[in-house]
Amino acid sequence: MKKKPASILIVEDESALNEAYQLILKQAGYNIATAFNGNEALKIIKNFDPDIILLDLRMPHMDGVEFLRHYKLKENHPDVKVIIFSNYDMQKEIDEAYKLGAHRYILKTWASPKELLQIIETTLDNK
Amino acid sequence: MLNSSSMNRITHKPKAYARRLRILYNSLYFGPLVVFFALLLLTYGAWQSSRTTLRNDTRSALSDHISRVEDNINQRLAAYEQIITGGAGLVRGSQDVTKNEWHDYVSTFDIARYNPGVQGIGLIKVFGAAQLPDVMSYMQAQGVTDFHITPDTPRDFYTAVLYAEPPNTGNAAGIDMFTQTGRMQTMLRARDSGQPSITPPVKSFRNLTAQPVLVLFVPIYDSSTSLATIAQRQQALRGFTYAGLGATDFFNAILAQTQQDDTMALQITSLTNAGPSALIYQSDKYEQFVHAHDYTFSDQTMSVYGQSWKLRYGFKNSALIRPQRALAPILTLLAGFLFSLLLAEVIYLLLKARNRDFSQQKEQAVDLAKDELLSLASHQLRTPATTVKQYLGMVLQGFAGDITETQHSLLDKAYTGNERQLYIINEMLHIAKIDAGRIVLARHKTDIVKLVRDILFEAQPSIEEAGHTLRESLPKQPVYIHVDEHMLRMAIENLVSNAVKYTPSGGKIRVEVHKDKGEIRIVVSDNGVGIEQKDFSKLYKLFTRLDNKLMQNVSGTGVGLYLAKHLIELHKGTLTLSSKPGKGSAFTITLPINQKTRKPL
Repeated sequence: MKKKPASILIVEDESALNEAYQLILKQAGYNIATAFNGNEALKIIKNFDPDIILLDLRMPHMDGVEFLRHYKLKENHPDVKVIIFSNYDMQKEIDEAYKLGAHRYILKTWASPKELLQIIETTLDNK
Repeated sequence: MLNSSSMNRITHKPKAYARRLRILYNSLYFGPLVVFFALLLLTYGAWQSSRTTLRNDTRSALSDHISRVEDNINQRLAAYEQIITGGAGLVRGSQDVTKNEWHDYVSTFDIARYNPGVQGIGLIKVFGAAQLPDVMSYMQAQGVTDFHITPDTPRDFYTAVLYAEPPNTGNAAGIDMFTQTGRMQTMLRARDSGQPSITPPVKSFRNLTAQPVLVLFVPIYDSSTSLATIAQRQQALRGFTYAGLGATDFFNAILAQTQQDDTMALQITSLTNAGPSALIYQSDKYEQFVHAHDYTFSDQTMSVYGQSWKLRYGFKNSALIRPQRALAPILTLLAGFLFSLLLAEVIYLLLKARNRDFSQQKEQAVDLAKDELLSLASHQLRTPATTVKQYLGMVLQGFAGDITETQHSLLDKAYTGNERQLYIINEMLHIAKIDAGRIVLARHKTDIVKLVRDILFEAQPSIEEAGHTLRESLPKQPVYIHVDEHMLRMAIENLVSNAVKYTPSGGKIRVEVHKDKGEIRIVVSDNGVGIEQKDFSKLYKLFTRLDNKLMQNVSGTGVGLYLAKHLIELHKGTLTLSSKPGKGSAFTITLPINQKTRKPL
């Protein structure tokens, strides 16, 4: 059993959803940081060490895939699990994301709050 | 009768033509037809040009042949001319020439061998009546004992043949050639002009030969006087040398030399004489060839020693132009026509292919636009729908504190409605993606047994509502497959939902999961209305629902089975059906456990 609560970075441009995820995950006791696009995420990540990143794909200024490129997930942060959390399911983007080291892909519409927590737990267990 | 209907017919005619023309113009046939006719026109031109060339070639071949024959004629006549001119010179040189001398002279030419057709090379002496006795005694002194002038009527002057060689041409000695008009006129012409002259066709003296005879005369003058004027020549005339030619033999020899195998016909007529006596020569098969289709005839005139001859030449076409060459125009026509057809056809096919490409492109563009629109709309719809799900979910799942039962049940209804929204949006998106072949599978290690169990658990309410009984037969152990859980869930849920919907109340539904070697089988069966064999394939078609009187008030969009089949096939599985109308249906999903790829699809 982990004593220290896990850190999760939420990268989501839709503010209502962003807030919702914050609420859910905070309630579950996780350490949360949020960003509204890739640029913000890069800034935040300098001072925040996530265990999991919930990454939306379609965002303004810098999208999910670009973020992953800059973040150099595979090289620099092999321990971080990136869960692609998106409503846009375009093959090419998903392939790119996986190539850049994403762990899993979830369609947002499938995940109710409970299910989201389940997924986070499963991912942490597999670390 | 001009009534309004016939008026209409009259005015409609041009409109109908115009419309038909416009249709033609816009049709695929227009281009090729234009090309075809243009090429036909060119072919026509080429054909005519080829014909003209052929004609010209024929003509020049003809004229070559004709020249050759003419040259031959002239050469042979010149040979004779030479002989008798030489003879004349002989006489001029000495006062008198003896028979032996004449014989020796002519013998040198070996006439019979080299100059066929010769009727005699002779010497004529012109003398006055006073000299007759001298001439007679001169001849008798040479041993020509039977020499006498024919005819022997006394006259002022005589034009008698003294000698004629070779001897086998009959004894012409003594003949007074003046007695024959043709010869006389020619001799006078020769005398007056000083030039060799030839007779029109004449008969042989004493009918020694049946063929027309031509006699070439060369005048002999007294060499001491001037011969500048006609009067002087007339005064100075002493005699003639002549060569008599059998026209038939002469021209036969020429023909034999210039042609082979009946490829030439020749008819020569004198333009001096008229009627049958104008004919100088007609080759053997002339009459035959004149009517033949494969002979070309040409009329020429020759001026021969003061005579005009009309020569009608006939040549076999194959002698003028090789038969293959003669085919050139017709081959050109044929080739041109075929080529026109070919090219027109090629153009037509090209246009058709281009058209097809265009319409394919258009179709594809329309399809793409349709998918893009559907895709965009659906994605856009997802975001707000997802937001609703999260917030309703949070309240329902305890993230906003406790709620009352009433609150829970009300919110639950909203949540269910939202789920249905999301489900439909997904279906729409999937349809768009199937069209574009772009379904994305998010594979993850999934326990199928648990999945089926969960689906059945969620389906409980609707099953109970319909009064059905559910029987499960699931393995005790989990079966893990690397699949997209949500996609498979959709497929299986669809089968279950169909079983519930299409079974009359109080029916039996049975769900089994079997693990068999390398695959897993999920069977959903019911004792519902069943499906007829012939409708099997229709089931899987998009937007089709079978006409089912019992079940007309059952809701459904008609996309479920279409999607289910596709999703299962994406997982390399199969969806099969066995059914009997009135007895029930059993849908079987078969999936390979080894999904081969660990990478996401």
